[in-house]
Amino acid sequence: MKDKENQKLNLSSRLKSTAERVSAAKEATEKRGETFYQGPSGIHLASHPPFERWGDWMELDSRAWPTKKERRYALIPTTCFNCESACGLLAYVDKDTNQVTKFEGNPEHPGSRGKNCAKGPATINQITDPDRILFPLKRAAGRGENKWEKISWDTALDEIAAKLRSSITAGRKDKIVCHIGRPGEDGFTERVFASWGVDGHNSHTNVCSSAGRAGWHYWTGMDRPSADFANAKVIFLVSAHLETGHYFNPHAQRITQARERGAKLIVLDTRLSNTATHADYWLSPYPGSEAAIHLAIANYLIQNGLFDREFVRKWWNWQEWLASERADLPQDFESFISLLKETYAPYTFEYAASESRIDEKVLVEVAEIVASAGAKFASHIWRSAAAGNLGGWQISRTLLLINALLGAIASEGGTYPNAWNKYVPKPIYTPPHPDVWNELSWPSDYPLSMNEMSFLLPHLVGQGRGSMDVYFTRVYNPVWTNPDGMAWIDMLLDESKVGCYVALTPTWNETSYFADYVLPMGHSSERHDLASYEQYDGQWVAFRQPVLRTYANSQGAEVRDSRETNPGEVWEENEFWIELSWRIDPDGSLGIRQYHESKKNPNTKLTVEEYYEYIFENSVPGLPDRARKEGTTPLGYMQSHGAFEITTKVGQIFAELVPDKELIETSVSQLGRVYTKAEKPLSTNIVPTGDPDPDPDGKRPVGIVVDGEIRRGFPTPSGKLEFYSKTLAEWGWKDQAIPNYIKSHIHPDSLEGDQMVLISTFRLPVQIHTRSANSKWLDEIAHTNPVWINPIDAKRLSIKETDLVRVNSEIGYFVAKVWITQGIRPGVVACSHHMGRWKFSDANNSLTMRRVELNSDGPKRNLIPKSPPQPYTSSDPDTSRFWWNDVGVHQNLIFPVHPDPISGMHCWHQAVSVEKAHPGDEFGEVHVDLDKSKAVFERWLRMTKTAYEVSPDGTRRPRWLMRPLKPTKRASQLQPADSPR
Amino acid sequence: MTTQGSATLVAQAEVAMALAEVSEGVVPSQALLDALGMDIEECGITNTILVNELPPFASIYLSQDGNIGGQSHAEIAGFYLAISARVPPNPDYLSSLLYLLGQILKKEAEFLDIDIDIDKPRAKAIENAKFTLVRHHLAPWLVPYLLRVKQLSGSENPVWAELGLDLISSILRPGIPRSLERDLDQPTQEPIQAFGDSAEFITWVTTPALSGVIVAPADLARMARDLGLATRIGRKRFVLEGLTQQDGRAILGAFDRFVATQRDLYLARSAEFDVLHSWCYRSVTTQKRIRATLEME
Repeated sequence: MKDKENQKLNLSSRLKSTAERVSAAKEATEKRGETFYQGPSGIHLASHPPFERWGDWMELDSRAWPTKKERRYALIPTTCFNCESACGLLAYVDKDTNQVTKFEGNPEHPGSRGKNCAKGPATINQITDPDRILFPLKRAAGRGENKWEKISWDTALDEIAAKLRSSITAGRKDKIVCHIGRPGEDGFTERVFASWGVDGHNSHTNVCSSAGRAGWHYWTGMDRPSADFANAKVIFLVSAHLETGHYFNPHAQRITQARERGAKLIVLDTRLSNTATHADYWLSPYPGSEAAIHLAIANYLIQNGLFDREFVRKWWNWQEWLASERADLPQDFESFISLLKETYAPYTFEYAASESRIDEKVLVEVAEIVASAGAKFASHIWRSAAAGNLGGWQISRTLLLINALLGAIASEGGTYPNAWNKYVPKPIYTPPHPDVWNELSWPSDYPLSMNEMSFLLPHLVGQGRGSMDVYFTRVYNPVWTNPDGMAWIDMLLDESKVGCYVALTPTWNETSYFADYVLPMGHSSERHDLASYEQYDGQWVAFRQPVLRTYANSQGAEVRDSRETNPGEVWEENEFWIELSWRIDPDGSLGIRQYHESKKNPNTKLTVEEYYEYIFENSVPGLPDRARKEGTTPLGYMQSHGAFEITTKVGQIFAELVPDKELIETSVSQLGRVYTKAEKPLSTNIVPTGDPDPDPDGKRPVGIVVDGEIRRGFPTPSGKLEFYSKTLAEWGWKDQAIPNYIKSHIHPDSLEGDQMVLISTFRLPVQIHTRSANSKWLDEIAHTNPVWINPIDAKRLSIKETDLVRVNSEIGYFVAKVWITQGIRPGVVACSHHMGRWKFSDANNSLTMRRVELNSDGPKRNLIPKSPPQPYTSSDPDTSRFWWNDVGVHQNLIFPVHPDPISGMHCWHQAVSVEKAHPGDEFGEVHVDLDKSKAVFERWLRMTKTAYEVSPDGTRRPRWLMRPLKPTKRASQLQPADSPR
Repeated sequence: MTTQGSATLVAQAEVAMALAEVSEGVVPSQALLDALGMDIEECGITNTILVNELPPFASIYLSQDGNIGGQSHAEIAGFYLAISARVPPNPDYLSSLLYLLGQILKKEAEFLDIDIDIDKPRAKAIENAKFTLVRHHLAPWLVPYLLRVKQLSGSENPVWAELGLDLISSILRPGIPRSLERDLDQPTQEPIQAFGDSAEFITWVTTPALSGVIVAPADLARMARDLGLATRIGRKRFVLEGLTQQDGRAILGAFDRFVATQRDLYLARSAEFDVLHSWCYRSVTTQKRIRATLEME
């Protein structure tokens, strides 16, 4: 018997030790990017070439079939540039031709894990696009006449630098603006402008995600969610985020993981999106009613005691709210709970059902599932509902209320603030923030706006509030992307408003036709950038690089400028900005050059190699050690692997104890905020967060007292989750200081008799804003945008599937095709953005853009289609094979600006009337009245409370709120003489 | 949090998948061989045995009609669906089955770790799927099969065969009902009879579900050599036909001895694997039929 037991023990230990050895071997193998278990034939494809063989990878040439012709490749990693999430790509560089032949996933990338959506591999279309811009061009006739001459980079740089120098030396620092579309590297462009001393950064965020961010920021001091989908029990998505927003690939794969384990997926989307089709619960609310649903769920949790009381007691700033609302009550937690119950009691399921038009029973069922998740409740919101509605930022804020009630903040399976799942390494230079405030980008009318009011530029300039000496767009196309594109065209055509317009773009776009200089910029395999985005509970950095340059250097060449290996004279932005900065300040007298100089070789230009060498050697923890183990340099490691994971399981940073060394001569506010005289410890992670003000003695906020211990807390003024935003209360919006429901501008009460709601805030995952049209594969998949209409509405309006319709907004109309579908609720129509690309001639941009004519008559503008895209002969034989000529309609032209008075976000949803097209109407035509668009702008402007009216401390904007460039205190003070009203 | 239970499951999964890899018939990575304590030569021998001596390595051993595909194939496909995995084109062969087992074990471990209570029935279903797969589709043939691999390899301890036995033992050990076999659990009740002719004998001894023995070409070659008979190249059935035509009685005698060795092989491990009792029983039946035939002649 004993022998038998021993035998069993031996067997067991053999099994155990073998398993341990196999696990270790698997981990080591998979870390190298190899597939350890190939699996039995047919179970899965061997996914990726093993890292050891990236230097010399062989594949059979498919075009030589049936001959087995071997082709040898060097696999060079980079990151995708076709949305923000920066998924890993592997460029296959053919060793015979020295050209990239395809892109596949990079298994070394911890976010995308070797997977890609269709946009990644389609990079090959973009770099081989026969219509791309290959040389610097200068306008050769009147602006907008689309006549160009090829110029050298030297000429372009000298001429633009001279204009910039002139503005800077003349003190016209607020006259330089750069409008950013696709972000490249976190903070790079901002630092360039800081080095010039200008407040010139102008993002596209207020037509994108700023409302979603605002809701988060007022709660947490950070501005976007990082949901831990993979470990969640319940996933709650407001919007068709997975396909319409960024992060489709990294998020979808983790949501799939969770669902395989049984997690429930709830999707709120008026439209039946691809994501909704996969959901356990698809809720199709009346647009704008989402906050009412969130509050009904929150109320259910509150009234039934289904929330995490301890979490709320410790981490909410409930004391501030209680003191503000009911100073008469005992200032204790029980009084707070009573007040909370009383405050949210009106948000019943019945009320939410009446607002959202969703069956009350379904809402109850969903609330029960949400309650069952506990801290494993992962929610996400980005654009969609938040971006569509007046008060959309409260949709984001009320969603986070549910997380905050459940304690699902930075919990496993919950939702993290992005800043804790992101790593922005400190670069070689961090120039000081400018001593100037750009009133065009940050007008005092919108003191609480989360981001620059970029989409108002034509109207603000039109009101005479300012002009621009030099206006850059960087991979951005405001004429086509922004609302009110005709107003943009008018502004760009007026040289007294825009002195010089420089378009930095890889491809032709509708705005670049109005430029003075069009400068060709690289796609993902042609440029340097460093990226890090929230995709799971971890922190990583990924390296975008010009792969042919890296390959050439690995073969012994000495390429020191990306233009040498890029097609034509295509450049990368980092080198461009460094060179331009030198030409603005050639002798260093303006103090600009110092931030673009080599530290190794003083008085010489900083190279991108040195720039990244510095970052990788000094600012990415763990990377130098890892590189050493592989016998390479940190830069060499990133060039060969493409990504590095710094840490995982970041956890609840807010609950960490503040170390004693940070607690010097501390003071503690009445509400427990702890301030210290200790210097902020140096950190190599400069990820932006809120920056709460110091106390009156200049001590910095360091933590928060919770149950007698000093914890790190949140980067908010109170140090806690701000259920109650004192900032909002003090800046004129006390009624919106707690999570609340704001009735949208397209609420049924605001619609006229025949009006419906138009949803325009969605797209398919294969689309890449402006650059889709230059990717033939993606365009073939999705190239048109019919108006979705419910059969009930179609019948009411006598519309058939083959009909054209007119969609009339406040300022004009477009003519489009229809798709009659039950995927949209009655009373609502939907039309995808990212469609309706146009051009002036067949000479440029032949690919999938319709040739049009723009006409004007007084305030009236129209866009008339002239000819659809046709197959044509080019270096790419596929251009003669295009089978589609319907490229959709440019709907954004008929959208007036709708700036939310608090967040500043453009509220995209439109009240429209839909009718059958009139005789003579042509598919794709658009008509706009600019007088009407101006009137709408002025109406929305009147909804604001300007800083001059409400600022409690004479500043233009609460100092603690995030801002890409943060002007000095002096520049942040209101100057009464400047008041625009 | 990883529990002790899930750690065990993960270890079992790891071994199952590693064994799947080395039984695939292609040379696995050196890292895997090192982890298993195998050298490339041993891997080669093992694969030679699988490919040359003991094909097919699938649950055909459970089927009295001896067909590949069909019922077992369909049943095994169901296990893939149970874990939401894609059914491979050929789900029923050793490597595929072990890989499937590994996937199920991993899935079970995940459920243990995450403690999802919304879907408890699903967690239980995964555990049931594991036991059913092992009890009905793996253990009944893989245990004697691996013993044969060991025996034919000429080595005292071919690593992967012994690890495979360890793995099955570790899964079935804790509180699993005794009567595990599916097709094997109903031993033939007919009275022992002599074989009617050589065709019946050949069909019987080449159908493991009937005979309780797994015959390899090497066994037949050895018998021929020992008996001084000529042999031929071909499937076992044809080889046996050739041998019985030369000296049927001698072949019956050789099989009598061979079946006895197989019975001893099973008896040595029957305390550990209940399933071997059925194999033992069938081998004894075979031996009795052989002896009845010899006596009749």
